[in-house]
Amino acid sequence: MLSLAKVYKHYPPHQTALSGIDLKLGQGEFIFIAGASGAGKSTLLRLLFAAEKASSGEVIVLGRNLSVLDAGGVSDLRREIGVIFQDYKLLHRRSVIDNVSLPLEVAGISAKERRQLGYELLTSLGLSERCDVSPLSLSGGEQQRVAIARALINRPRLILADEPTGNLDRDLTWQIFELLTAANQAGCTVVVATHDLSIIEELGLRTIVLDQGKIVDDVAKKKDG
Amino acid sequence: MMLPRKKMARDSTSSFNLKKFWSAVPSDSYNSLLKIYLQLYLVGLKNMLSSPVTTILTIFTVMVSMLLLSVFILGLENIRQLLLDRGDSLSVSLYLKDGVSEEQVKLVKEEVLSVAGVESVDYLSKEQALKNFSETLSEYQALISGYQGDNNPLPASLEVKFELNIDSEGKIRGFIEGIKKRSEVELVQVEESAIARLMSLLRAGRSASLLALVFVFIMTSAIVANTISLGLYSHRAEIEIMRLVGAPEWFVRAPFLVEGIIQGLIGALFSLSLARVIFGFLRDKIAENPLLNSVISQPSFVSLEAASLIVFIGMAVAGLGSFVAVKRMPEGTI
Repeated sequence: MLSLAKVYKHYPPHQTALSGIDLKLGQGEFIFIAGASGAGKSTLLRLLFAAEKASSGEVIVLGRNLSVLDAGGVSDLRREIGVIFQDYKLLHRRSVIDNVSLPLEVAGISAKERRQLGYELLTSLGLSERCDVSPLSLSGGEQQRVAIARALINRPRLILADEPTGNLDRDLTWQIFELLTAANQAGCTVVVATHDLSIIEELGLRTIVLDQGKIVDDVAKKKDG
Repeated sequence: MMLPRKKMARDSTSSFNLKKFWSAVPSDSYNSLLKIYLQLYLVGLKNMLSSPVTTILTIFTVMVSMLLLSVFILGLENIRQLLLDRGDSLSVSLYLKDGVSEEQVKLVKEEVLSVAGVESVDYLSKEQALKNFSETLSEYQALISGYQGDNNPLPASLEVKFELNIDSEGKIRGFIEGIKKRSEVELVQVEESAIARLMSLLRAGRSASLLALVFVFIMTSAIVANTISLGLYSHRAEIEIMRLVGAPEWFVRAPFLVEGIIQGLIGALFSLSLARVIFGFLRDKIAENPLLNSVISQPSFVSLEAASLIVFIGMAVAGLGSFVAVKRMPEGTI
């Protein structure tokens, strides 16, 4: 599903964001990437959805070697990945339902079908009343649920979430993790970068700990029950 | 994996059944390519209307740039017209052999007229040639009178006038080579220095105007592209998010290409309208001034071809400017 071998990422002039990362992730896993600010969590996620290229090493995501992927290949890859950010990255000029159905629009699905699927998903998330408003009129938790709906709508194989609950309170945080868990249970591999140790502790899932660009710990999933 | 029970209780979305939802995705209801193009076109229009300030700024920049180009072309065309109006069209004299029949003259004339670039062909009979000659030498009438009738030594000729343009030299030389071979033609005469002088003048004018045109084109392209880049900044979120959800590059760029082309079209049309107003004002001023009027008697506005070229350049510069500006917009700008 996902593997990194001896991956380095340098920024000029002398900054090293990732240093010798080796990581393997199987289909259907749910892992956390933990670490303090500047540890390299976001950089690692950006490598995984090909927003940046590794300076050296091999990054393989969904069977594709990202170091040799052209622009068309990157687009194809991203249609199989859902990406979630702390700041939601929603288009304020578009309505909530248009934001959610954006991946379907890109895939060439008809407007009627997009609206139907978007409405169905937003209804499941308790946002059916907010379909036609601008995301700006939503609360932070609602905006993040819209962003997650956008990530989920096209049946992604992999979800990458970068501090998805960074701006949310505890209740909303649990709502967001419920959604990510549901996606994982439906067969989707999930990678979440967070510095919220309480969430990690409570969920007890496999956790990669980064420090200064290096993996310093790989904590296995706690046994259920 | 399940969330702890106490947390699940707080969750308003715990009934969410993603597996069931995904069973309907992906759908088979795809848009036709035509519909996708139409949709991208509409997005381009929407983009334009959603940011009126940048749209007006881009149209204004294209208008000013294309106005510069229009005035430049207007000047060039009028200078060229001024040169041609000096009456320096080139003449070639074809002296015919004695005894060539009227029928043969007619055939040669028809052939000459069919040559590209030939403006007119005038036949000058032996008698007319002698008459013209005697008129220029009126004090030697007695001498000339001895050459009347069969004693007339002057040949009949065809006076061929060529339009003057940059290709004239090659056309005239080709024509001379061909016509020399005709049995009816005795001698072909052309003033070489006249060809060379006019051609060098035209060539210099053409080179200078092309150079200046390229310079103006590059300058206007740079100005327009920079304005568009600034305008695109307000759309950087759309661009990045479209890329994020896997939109192919053509899908991301097409609306901005459409937007640029429309802005270029509007800007270029405005520039031509403004150039027409300026031209009308200057034409009236020239008409009022006897000195200027004697030099530029009939100033002309840019030709339809030049106007079309200006509109095309406006659309191309703005369209390509947008297209390239999106390409150059890096990821992670929002």
